[in-house]
Amino acid sequence: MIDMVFLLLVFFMTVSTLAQEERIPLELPESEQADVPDDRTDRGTISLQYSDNNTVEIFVGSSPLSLKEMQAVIKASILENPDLKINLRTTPDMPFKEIKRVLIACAEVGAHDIVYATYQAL
Amino acid sequence: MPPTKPFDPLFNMPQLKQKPSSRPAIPIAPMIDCVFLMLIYFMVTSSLEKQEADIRFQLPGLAEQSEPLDLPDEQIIELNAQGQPSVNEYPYDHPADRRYQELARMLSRFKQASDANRVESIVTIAPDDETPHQNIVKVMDAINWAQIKNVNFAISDH
Repeated sequence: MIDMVFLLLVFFMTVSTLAQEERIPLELPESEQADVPDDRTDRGTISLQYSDNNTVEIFVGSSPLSLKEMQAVIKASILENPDLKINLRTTPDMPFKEIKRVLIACAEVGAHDIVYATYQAL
Repeated sequence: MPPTKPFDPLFNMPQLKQKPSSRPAIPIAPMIDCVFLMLIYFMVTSSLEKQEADIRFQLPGLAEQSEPLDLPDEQIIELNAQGQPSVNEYPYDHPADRRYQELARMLSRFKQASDANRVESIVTIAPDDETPHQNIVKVMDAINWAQIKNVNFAISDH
């Protein structure tokens, strides 16, 4: 029995740490219609958040990049995988102009499939 | 002569009442308590973490326009800086509402009307520069509720 319990323990410990994808922690907007996807492949994660000095930072995965660098990364990954979906994560209070910059940058390099990350409203 | 039994001290000697054990035993019971506690902790935290859900849309761009298209029905939802949605200058709902019900019902009627006319229904979201992200997501929720699949963003360069 102890063997079993240890096995379960180790399983949940690894699952809870492995489940963390490469992304920064962020408060997301709530949505009632959004679905939790089964398939998370073909995704590039871009996160937008305010830094401490009130400028907007762009993260690709978990690395902070400028808009131009982000564009270059997306361009390279879309060549590799044409089905790439951009998973856009940002805080509920982010003004549209900041999101617009990213959307335009994505469209310019041919990434047209955008997914807004949200929490499901209960 | 029968073979003699080899001398076995444990067999032949009188048993000691209790041998003092050379190795100290690990106390199992408290360890199980600990392990169970950890097990339950990890089980609970692994399911409590909020899962991220999706709202998808396509950016306009490489649409093929070679075939003649039926002119689709289009609605433009404008959002002001506070997140107030309005269509044709008529405001729907309050920006702080948890869900945009009036807007959703209007879009549902619009969707039914265009379905009846066998034309595609398209919704374009035209947010102000300062519109918060949450309000845009709520508008997308309303569009999704009305089962409209074509969503666009009006992106204007000032």
